[in-house]
Amino acid sequence: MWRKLSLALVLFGVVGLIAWPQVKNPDTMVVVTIGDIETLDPAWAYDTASGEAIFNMYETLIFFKGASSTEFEPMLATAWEVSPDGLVYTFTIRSGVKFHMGGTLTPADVVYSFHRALIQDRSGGPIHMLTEVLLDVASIGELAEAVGDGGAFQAIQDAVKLVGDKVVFTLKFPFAPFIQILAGTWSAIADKEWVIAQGGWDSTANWRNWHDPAAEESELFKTANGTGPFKLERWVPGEEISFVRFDGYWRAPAKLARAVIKVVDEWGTRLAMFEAGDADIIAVPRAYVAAMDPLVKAGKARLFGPNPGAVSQTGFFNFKVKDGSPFMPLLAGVAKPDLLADVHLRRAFNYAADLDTYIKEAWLGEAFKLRGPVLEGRLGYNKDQPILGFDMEKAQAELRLAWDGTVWKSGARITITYNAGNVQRKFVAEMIERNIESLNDIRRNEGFRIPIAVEVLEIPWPSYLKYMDDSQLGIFFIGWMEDYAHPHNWVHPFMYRTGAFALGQNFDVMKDVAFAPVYATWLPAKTYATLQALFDELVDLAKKEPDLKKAELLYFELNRLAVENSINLASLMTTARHYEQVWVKGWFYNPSFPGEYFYNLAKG
Amino acid sequence: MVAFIVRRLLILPIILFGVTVFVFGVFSFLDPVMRASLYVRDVPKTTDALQRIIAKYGLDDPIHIQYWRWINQVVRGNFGWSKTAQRPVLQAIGHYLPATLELALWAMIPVIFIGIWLGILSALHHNRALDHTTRVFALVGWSFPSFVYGLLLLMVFYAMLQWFAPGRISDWVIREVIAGTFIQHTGMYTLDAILNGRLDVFGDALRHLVMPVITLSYIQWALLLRVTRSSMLETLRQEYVITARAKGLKERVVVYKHAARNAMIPVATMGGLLLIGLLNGVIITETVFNYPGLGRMAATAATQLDILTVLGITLFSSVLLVFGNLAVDILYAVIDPRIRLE
Repeated sequence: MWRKLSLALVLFGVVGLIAWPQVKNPDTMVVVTIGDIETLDPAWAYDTASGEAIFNMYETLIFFKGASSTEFEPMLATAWEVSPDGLVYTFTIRSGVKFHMGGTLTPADVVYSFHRALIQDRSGGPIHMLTEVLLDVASIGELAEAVGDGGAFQAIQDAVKLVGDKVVFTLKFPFAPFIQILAGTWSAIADKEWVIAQGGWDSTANWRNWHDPAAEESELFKTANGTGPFKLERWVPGEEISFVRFDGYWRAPAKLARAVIKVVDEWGTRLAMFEAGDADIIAVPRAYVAAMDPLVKAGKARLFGPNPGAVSQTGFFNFKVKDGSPFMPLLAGVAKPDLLADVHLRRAFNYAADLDTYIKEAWLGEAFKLRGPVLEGRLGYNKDQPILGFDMEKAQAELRLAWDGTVWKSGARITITYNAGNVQRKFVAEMIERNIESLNDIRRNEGFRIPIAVEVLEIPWPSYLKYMDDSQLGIFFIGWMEDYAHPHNWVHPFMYRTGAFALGQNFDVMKDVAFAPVYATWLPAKTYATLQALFDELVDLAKKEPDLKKAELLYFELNRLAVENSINLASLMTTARHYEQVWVKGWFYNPSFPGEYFYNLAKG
Repeated sequence: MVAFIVRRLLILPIILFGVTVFVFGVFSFLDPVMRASLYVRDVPKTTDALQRIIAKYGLDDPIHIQYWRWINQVVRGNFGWSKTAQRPVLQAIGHYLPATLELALWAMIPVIFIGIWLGILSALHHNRALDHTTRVFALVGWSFPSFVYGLLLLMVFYAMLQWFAPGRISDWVIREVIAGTFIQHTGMYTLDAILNGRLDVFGDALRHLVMPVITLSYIQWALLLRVTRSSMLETLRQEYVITARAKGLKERVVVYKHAARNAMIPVATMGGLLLIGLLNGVIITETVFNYPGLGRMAATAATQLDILTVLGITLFSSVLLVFGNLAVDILYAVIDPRIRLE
């Protein structure tokens, strides 16, 4: 089916080559993509589609330097200082900057924008990154429960304040990635007077009225007034958003007069728009890259990539599946919730994962093996960290050891799940299923009749979310996209007790865990009550460590522990491709950009 | 007839109530976390995110309480917020309906006229070349998936020849709408273009409608053609038609005055439901041609478990269905005076 479809699309591409158009609308850039914007409110938005619109209209204190996601340059701040203890960040605010609607940027706007974001802190939103480091809580609601509404409000005032004409942030603990959080769209600066005029938070202690709104309840849901190079022209949800150049921009005005982002879910339509010259940049799913190859080879389209992305694809082991789960593991035909708590069993699955084939077939060779949770290119990524490579002999040996030989002799049943529609996750799950079940021939020859069965199930996203949240999945595959380019944004979800995935993996099952440091040799060797306690302590130490070298060694340690304990399965870092018309100028890849930054672009 | 119409309309609230109870009942089988997934695009990054969403929207309240809360708002004219359309449900239907209606109305014209005309011609040329040709034409219409020939049309007439285009309208018209130099009275660009006296906009809207209209209407032409043909063949064999011919009436009068009118009764049944059929058929067409209409919105809402939007669209479809059936019943009486609605 896929091959036929790909063939048809290749034909589609060849037909398109016959009559290639010339540049249309030379001062308007049209991006045709998938995924609709959720909101235009920077404090509410946490998806890349919204982020793409926001970072063309609003600006942050600092911004990514060129293609780097770890180096920054001043934007609305002209300079900043960090206190020696790493707790106080002081920013000098740029003068002479205008908002789209005519207001002038002041330090008070900066303070207000952060206060407003912390007060809003919507459910499932991005502000947890700020509350974690500025207030040491997961949410403002949690703080209010502890110290009351007044106390929480005061804490916000203390965390971000105006001192003279400078803006001062006071952190609860030293946290190196704080500066990276400030470059995200959630830290964008809005015009205080204008937001209040729209019905926004009025700067009083009566903050509850503006806390945790639904997207549409936010006063900035469908309007925008930033200092960025483009102004909002029109947003029609589900259809398109358009921007016009802001001529009062504090830097040189953008080269483009207009930019449009169109939502077109159907791939064939996007391709046709590209071939007709109506789309300058299009989103190309990996399954359809073959359709673009003839265009690139014929010099009709330009390809950037594969570029290392900020996304990983990983399998997760749940050490204790919740009672009543439809995916309950079985050992010798009997329910065994903690079946995957045995490290030999987890290692066997890792040895059975042929990552080279997985990368070649499912990712068209455009993915890299990860050596622990931390992404390649981030502080703490250890290129020398050994991982468990594909080796069916070792997989067999580990299976023989699992649960003191019971798995090998009496059989087991384990379910691997992935969210419906994800072809790559399906591929790797079915490959592991085949490889593990191939060992049943050897077992049968030894007289063990009950098979080791691996069941692969695809689950629709809503149900998948439910089962994952409820710790009911056994082995599950999912992706993670980083919020900021720092290893904490990887070890936290993968290993910390409240992490997005670790929460559902139940590392607490592993008791009395001995730890002897290999990299962070200044740490004492000791026994921890649980594996989770060990992970938590190291994650906390790493995020607060001001010495970069020491922090790196702590992340090395965490990667090592993750691999040695086999808490994950078939972990890859994926890549991204960018296709554009040959007349597009100025594009470069920055993995931290949520989308196209039109200020850099031109046509001609 | 008035009493008949009033009776039919009085049934409407009961049908709507039944529909809402049914849809709510179906959704009650879903876990609150599954319904919260509508608000979560990615893996929740904080532990309490899902619980906060469930509490905020009352997704774990008993279903009858959720229903009561919703129906209370509905009687006040508030159908809730459509998360998938990013606007209030009623506003969303109002926004997308003109596009779909415009598409369906334009598709109705070839469906009715070509379908009926070719159907009659096929019957008159029974088992001759024309009949065989239309049979093949109809079979192809039924068997060829509409998304395939939709994509083929795109490939040839847009990507290659650039005669027609996907979407609803060109960017330059959108800019005129934004600038206020083109006024949208009905939301249907072809009609609005006439009202604005703008032939250029009319032409542009038509240029965007050609491919979706062909894609959407082909299967319906084929269907109507076959129904008309069968009905016409049966009627042409009736004794009164033979009598009419024996009387020496002109063939044209026999066919179009005596035979065709009676043959139209089953066709009217079909025709009344065609509009609803077209509205259902728009899902694929709107997706392929990136045509922002009600069908695409309904499909997105259903796949994302957006209960409020699904309810809104279901209610709207129910109203449409009731009125569609009513129109067919009235049409029966018009075509055949022997049928008395009372």
